[in-house]
Amino acid sequence: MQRLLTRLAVALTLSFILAPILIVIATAFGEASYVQFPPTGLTLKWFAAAARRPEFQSAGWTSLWLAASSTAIATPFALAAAIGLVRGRFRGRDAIQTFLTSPMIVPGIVISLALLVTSAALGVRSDLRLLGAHVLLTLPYLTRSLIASLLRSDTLIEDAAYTLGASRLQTFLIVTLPGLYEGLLAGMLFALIISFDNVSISLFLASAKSNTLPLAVLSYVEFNYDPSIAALSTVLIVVSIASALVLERAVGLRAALGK
Amino acid sequence: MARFSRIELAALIAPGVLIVTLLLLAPAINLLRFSFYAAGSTEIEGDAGFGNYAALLSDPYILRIIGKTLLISLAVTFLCLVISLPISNFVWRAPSRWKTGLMILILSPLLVSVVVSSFGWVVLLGTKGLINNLLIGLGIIGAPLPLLYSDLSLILGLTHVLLPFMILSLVAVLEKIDPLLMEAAATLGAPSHRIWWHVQLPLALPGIGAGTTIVFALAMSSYVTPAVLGPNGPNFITTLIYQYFVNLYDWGNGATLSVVLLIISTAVVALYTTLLSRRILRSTRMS
Amino acid sequence: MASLSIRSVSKAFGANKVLDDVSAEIGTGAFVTLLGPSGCGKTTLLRIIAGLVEADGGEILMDDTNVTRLEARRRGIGMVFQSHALFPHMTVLENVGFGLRMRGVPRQERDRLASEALALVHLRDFGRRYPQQLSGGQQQRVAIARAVVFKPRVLLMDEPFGALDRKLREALQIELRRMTRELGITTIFVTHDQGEALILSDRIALMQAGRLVQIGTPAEVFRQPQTRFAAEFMGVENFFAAQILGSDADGTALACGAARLLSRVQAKLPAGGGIAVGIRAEDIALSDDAHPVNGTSGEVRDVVYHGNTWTISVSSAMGEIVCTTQAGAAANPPANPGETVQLAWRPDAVLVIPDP
Repeated sequence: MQRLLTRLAVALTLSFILAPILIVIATAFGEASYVQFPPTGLTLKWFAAAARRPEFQSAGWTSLWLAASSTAIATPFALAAAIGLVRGRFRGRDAIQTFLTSPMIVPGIVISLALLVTSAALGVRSDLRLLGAHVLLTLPYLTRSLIASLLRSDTLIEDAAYTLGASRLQTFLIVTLPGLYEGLLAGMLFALIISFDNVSISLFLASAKSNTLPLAVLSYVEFNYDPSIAALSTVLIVVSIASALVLERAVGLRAALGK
Repeated sequence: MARFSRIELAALIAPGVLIVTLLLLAPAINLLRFSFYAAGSTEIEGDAGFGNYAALLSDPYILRIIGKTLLISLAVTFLCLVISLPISNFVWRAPSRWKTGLMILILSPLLVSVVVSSFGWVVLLGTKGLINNLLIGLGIIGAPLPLLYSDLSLILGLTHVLLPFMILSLVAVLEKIDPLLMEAAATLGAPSHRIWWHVQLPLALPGIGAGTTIVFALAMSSYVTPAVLGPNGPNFITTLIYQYFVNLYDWGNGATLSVVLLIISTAVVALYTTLLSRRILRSTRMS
Repeated sequence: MASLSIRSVSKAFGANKVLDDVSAEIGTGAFVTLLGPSGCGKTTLLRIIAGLVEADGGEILMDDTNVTRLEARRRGIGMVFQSHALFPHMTVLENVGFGLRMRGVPRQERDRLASEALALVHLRDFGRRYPQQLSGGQQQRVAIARAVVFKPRVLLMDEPFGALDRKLREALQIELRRMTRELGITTIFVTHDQGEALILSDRIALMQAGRLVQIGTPAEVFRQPQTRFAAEFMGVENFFAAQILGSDADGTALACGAARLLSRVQAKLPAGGGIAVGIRAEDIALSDDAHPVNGTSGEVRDVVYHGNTWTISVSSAMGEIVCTTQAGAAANPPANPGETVQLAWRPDAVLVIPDP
């Protein structure tokens, strides 16, 4: 009886989680020119329609470029900081760690506004301020997953390398870094997803020239209600789930989340 | 292990700290500065003062929106907790070959952009949406219910995107519990619901604390869900901020509200952290 | 191969003094064990010798060269860690060849030497595997090969067999002793297992609370413990406060309360001095002789069967005494609780402990 109740609760929860996602995918294939469920007919025309829209094309490239370059920029900073925080013993270490991961806690809309107000005063280009915002966004996720994998790594093998004649740089490159490979990959993939999906930090910083894909979708949804948005969303869902599967295959989702 | 010298440590950590200082701390201080100057403009004018705070926090319209934001966030937190308890328990006890698949399903709202899942709720809850069609088809209602653009759709949407955070926190803490403790309790004659109440739940408390804190803070500062699924007009502190900045070009009041939001969400996290460290202190003193 | 001098080494972690003025001289090719309970500072001393931890005071010399300020990698030591610390992303051959690689030995030469070292630990055919594919004992043998392949001046081993089961441990102990003697390599071995120390060592350095309490051959440390701690750690169960009555070439006469004891050990101490005597349980026998040279009588409190032996607790005039007797094939206990028995021991079983 109790087991049955638990299973029912689990089934209901999973349907709650999946319903809005699955319904988007289902409606993307319908013939009608408005979103409807259950869909009638079966067509791929909305995918073509979404792909033809220039605002989605340019926003898609902007989002890809933003995710890749912010992750690439933030990674070395996160790696250095994580090594210093895990391998160093000094007062204020916890405070610095909290500070470095604080962009996760501060509401995204506040970060976006603070950057808007400040970059307006300094006259920073809109694509640069967007890039800066996304570096700030990805930095804590990378730092956290690298800290987690450094904490897991065995410091005795570093000792062993020293006693065998390796310098500190050699030890880092030959012994420590290969052990971090999983955490690094996980953190970078997760940072890509976080940046690609983000709305709140980009909210006030994007311009007509540098609009991101989620923002383009958001403004399209406000005024339109046709299945091309469902088609685009389906593509985004497939990309997200595929990256999640890659993450899971490569290292496990937990490692990516730094838990 | 060879130690890093102070200079090496500084060289490793300083660049990251510099980034957060330049891109978060300094701009946040600048935003704070704006909140002290005259409202109604995108420039800094006049004398500094607490005028914006006094005006906004005595305006019943603003206070109602802030109050509603807190209330809805609280409801979302409660819903997330209630929904998470059975499923996190299920994940914890599931055989490990299922766990990965289960976790991917559970985390999917986190991996799919919030814009996409909000759109999904629009499709589900709209007047021609699945729910209304279903209810009409079954003859339960005659005309479609106004489910969308209501507090209900806002709460459902927020619960949906924030649920993974709660489940993750709970599963993380459950996995640290030694399963032998449950078996020990069972051999001591405890029925399963009492094992849950007396052993599992107290041990899971830190995870419940962490999960509720994260969910509440994230709910309060969410923008997309209130904008897409909430009632029309400013319905949440974030959408109100957006209105001040984008529609009214009033950076002074927008900055003031942002500072209020930041203070409340930081206070929630700080409160939890203090409670947690007290708890740890107490339990170490006991042992 | 090098000799090693440890001179007045001290180390504290915060307020916790881990090493307090430790000095020792270790000759070329010697196998020395640092023996002591956990927390006695033996691992810290080993890590200071390795250069992984910096001492607060004192010096380490190798072949009369001061290496105190030298980095670990330049000391030319080989080290084996308790959890083997093999590089998980390198093959066994790459692991063993790592020290040679750091020394700039070309690839072919490196692989040849590494294979030889693997042959030495009977793992010639395992070079292409990864550490995770080996058993615990095999992993530790690879770690040993990795530490000796580049002919280090000193080999340091930190409880290398601690995580292994007893049978495997004993096999590896014998193999290690053969190998270090063949190679003639100066070895410092850390353990908390006195049996392991006795089997392996040329000399045992016994440590307690950051101090070196006794250093000597296994037989010296076993037969002539200098402190009560040393005696206890080397397995002595029975202790009695005693006074020296007199000493001559034959031995020492002692008073232990009303009882008189004769020890074969020559106490280098003046008569009248208060000392302790220790007697191992297995050196005490049940006796038919009513008046043995050394002995006492008492009432049996408890008898416990251990398979090969019996342990008998006796309450005597000298105090509580524990003795063990061989069980042999007999199924019956040698005595029963409540019975009065006579205990006897030979004069050379009486250990004189100058520092009780």
